Amino acid sequence: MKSITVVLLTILAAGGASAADDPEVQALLVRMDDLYRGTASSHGKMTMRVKTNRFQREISMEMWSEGAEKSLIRILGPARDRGTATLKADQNIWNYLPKVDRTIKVPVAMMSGSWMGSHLSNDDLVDSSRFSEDFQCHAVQKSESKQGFWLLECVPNEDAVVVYSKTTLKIRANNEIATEVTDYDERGNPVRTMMLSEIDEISGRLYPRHIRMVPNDKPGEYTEMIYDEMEFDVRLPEDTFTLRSLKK
Amino acid sequence: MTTFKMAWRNIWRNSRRTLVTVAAMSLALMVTVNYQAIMTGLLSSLEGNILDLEMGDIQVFAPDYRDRPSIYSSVDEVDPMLETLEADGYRVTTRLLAGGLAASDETSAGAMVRGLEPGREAEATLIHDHVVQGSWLDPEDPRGIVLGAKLAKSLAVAPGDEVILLSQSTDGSIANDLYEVRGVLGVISDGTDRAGVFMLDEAFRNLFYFDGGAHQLLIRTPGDVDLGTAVEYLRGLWADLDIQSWRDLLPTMSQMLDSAAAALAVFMVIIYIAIAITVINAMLMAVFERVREFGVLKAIGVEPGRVFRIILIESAMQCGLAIVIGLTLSLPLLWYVSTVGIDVGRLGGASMAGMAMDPIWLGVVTPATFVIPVVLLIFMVALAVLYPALKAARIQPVEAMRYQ
Amino acid sequence: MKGTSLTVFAWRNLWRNRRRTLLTLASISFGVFLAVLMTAMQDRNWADMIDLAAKIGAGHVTVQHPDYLETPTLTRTVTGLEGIAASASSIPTVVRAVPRISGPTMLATAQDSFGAAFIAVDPAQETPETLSVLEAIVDGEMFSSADDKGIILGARLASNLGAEIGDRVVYTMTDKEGEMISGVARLRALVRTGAPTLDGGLSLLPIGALRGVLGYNVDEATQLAVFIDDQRRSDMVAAELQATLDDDAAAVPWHRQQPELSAFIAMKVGGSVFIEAVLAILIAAGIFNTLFVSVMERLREFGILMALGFTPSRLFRLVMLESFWLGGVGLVAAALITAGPYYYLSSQGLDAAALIGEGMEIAGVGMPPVMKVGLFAKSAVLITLGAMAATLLAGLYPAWRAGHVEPAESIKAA
Repeated sequence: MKSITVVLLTILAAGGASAADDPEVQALLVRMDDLYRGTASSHGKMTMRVKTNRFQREISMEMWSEGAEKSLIRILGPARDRGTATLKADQNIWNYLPKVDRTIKVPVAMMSGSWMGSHLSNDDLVDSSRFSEDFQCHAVQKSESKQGFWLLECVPNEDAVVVYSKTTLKIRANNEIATEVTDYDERGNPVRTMMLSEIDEISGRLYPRHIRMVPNDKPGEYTEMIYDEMEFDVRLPEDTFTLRSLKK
Repeated sequence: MTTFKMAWRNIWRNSRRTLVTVAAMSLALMVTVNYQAIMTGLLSSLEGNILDLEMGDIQVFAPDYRDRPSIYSSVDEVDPMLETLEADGYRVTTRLLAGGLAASDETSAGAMVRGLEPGREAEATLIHDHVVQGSWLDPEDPRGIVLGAKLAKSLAVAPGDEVILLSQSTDGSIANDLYEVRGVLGVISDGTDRAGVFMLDEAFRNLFYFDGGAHQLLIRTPGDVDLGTAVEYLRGLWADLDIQSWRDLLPTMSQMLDSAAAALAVFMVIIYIAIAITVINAMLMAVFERVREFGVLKAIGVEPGRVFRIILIESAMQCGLAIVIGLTLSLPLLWYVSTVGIDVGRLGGASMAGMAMDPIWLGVVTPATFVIPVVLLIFMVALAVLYPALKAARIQPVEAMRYQ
Repeated sequence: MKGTSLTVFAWRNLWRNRRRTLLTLASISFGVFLAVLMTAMQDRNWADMIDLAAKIGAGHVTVQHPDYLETPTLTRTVTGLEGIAASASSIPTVVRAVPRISGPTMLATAQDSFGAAFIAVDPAQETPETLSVLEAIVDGEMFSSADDKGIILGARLASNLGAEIGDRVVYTMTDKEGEMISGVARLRALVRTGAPTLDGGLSLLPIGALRGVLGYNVDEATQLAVFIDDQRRSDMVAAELQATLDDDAAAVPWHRQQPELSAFIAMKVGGSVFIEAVLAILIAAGIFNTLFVSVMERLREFGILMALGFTPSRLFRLVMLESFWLGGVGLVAAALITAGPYYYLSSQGLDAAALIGEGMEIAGVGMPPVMKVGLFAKSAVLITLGAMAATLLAGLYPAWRAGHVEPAESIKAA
């Protein structure tokens, strides 16, 4: 799975330098990369809906990002969680907990735990954004027309820090946006699928307003993220991604 | 009657020999009584520590809890179960279980959070006795928590310090709150030492927004009910729950205790053999040395059966005397080993298969403490006396005179 | 009578009542027999356990960062390992010194993730003699080199992770700067020891590959595990090694590294000392009984000897010599009856697995499956001295009594 920051901020693509033997796939990857190259910063608001067999919850949040390495997410509601914030800087995550007024660095042992009760783990937040370097992609299905889809199969390189055996991307030919991303385990079974829809355009950038993540081993469960507001290339105060601003 | 009188007079005729023999038997009895008490204590403390502090005799879970521990897998409708159990003489406590992160100002560590009601818990476990710093949970103090020894050390906290607990609530939100360390436990088990966080049932429910029954029921069987029978009975009552004896939950531990019991039995046999040698040695000497005297008895016309009886009665009298003296003398020592105990570890905090072990061997006195040594003593004396007695009864007077 | 003939006299006296003496000898030798076998079992057992703990843990002596014992983190390393290893190897009893990196890690597969302990090793330097789990490798092969991109997992851990041989496993840990760092490895083999904590929570990594991930130098690790051929010299080796080290490294003997095991052994040793003390009391009681009865019976004889010019001190010595003979012959008899069983147990051993079950562990250390016996020379001397002391002590009162006979009284008394 691509870094969730990347997912949240819609820069979902198979990345620039992804190696592909097939020149056509290579060209597709390059074009997708070009589309998002130079995304310096972003700011947006979104609603996350988590449906599990145990609970259902809806969280609204505001977030800021700079490149793929830094991001800050602050919970706006519900009231009980308001003010809770997550800062991601490089490979580390800190959570600010307003109830106890403390900032806690998420330890290694909790990285695989759920983030805010969703189907995303803390690991997903920091998960390597080196997708571009770490995978070898080839086209399983090519689209001749603009209406069709490309189906890419990306296999992680031997030394890529990725647990999945492969990831498939379903890419809409007309706008070259991925609409379905599926991760597979070593036995070739799908582990989870992410569906992206309601493609919108802001500042010349395409992004899906609606992202839905479905874990394959838990039927009926999902996590949905819906962008309410989004802006790119915003000017952010220098101290945005510091522990101090986490507490604000 | 005259045989008795004769025997009684006989044993005091050579009072020195009688005293030596009785002293040997008394010493043997003293040693065995105390040894028996210590071994019983050791065995019950081996089991006791685990059962009293950690396991209970029987545990009840929701069917899927042990395979996939989850805060949602709880045993519901607990109250009627508690009533049934208590009506049947079982003692029981409920525990709420969840994983999380404990954080101090310094650092953080993984935590196994356990919510319980102190009043009920005290009925079934002795964990409240194992607080080495500060104090145990108090229903009046919902912010108080008690930590495992290693957890407190790795968080660098002591009673009075603040600890944050962080986890996921049942509704998916972040469970987090600030607590004060009330107490730190001694060595219990590897898991508890490393990660155990105990809090009030009510505090647990508030932290996790948990309103289910309980994740674990910890049951102590009445003394007269066999563990296997109890498990069968409870499984009959609640067929849809996962009901396990501690032996099923900790097979290695259970096996190990059995082998420790076997090892103790071997030690026991060794000591009893050594005792037997001492007693038999004394008795053989005492009787063999009097063969000549018995020859005289026969020479004056006492029939073999009577000689045999006299010897047996004499030995029985000496033995009886030894029992009175030995048991009386063993009482002060017994008091010592059962109250102060014998410290065989120098550092404390030893563990066996991840379970706490007490380095102090404390004696436990049961009827068996006295009955087994006494019965064995009688048996050994009988064994030691029969052969020389038979020999003396059968001996020809002339031969006896030559006998050394 | 001369002194030498007093010894002979005592010897003869002993055999005047052959049955009594034989009974007493039986009691002494049997007591010693029990004490020897019990102590031998303990000595060997603990020695085996300590060696095993060293093979599972970090050697008999571990060179590590001074603060590593208190807080083992990957930021606390030792550098210049080659030099330290060389000075360790120059100590005569040291067999081997191998570098290791160990600590906690989080392992993840597509299916699940679990925390585990890891030990990073150099496959060229490690053998089952230094790392016992290597013996328990099943379903696969050891790393081909220190830079192998593989991982070896406890069998249960692997099945919890849903990982099969050849699968990708991502490991995450905190690096030298305290930053979270991850690496990926292929599952090369499984370790199945039967000990739950190892099978369910141990992973092995190649040290070279991990140094790369953690940003360690080639000469850097968290520990240098030093193995010696006699665990009783651990303290000595640690002290000797410490003298060659700077302040940034500490040589720690196994009992400080594994205080729980050490406490457990201390407890069991304490327990067996207690049982041996009981044995000694019983042996002494038996000897006292024999000597006392025999002295009392011979009071008249002593009176006559005195009348013949024996001094009290001579009579005292006579009886003490008798008890010395009893003890000495008892020990010889003990040696004779102990030799056979001892030889059998020290060469064949008892199958402990049948006795205590598979997968048994104490203080996190798996028990040796075959329990053999082996007596430390120190213990043998102690038992011999103990038995002799018990014999002589038991002889004291009877001997004193013999020396205080009034010639006239004693002759009348009998």
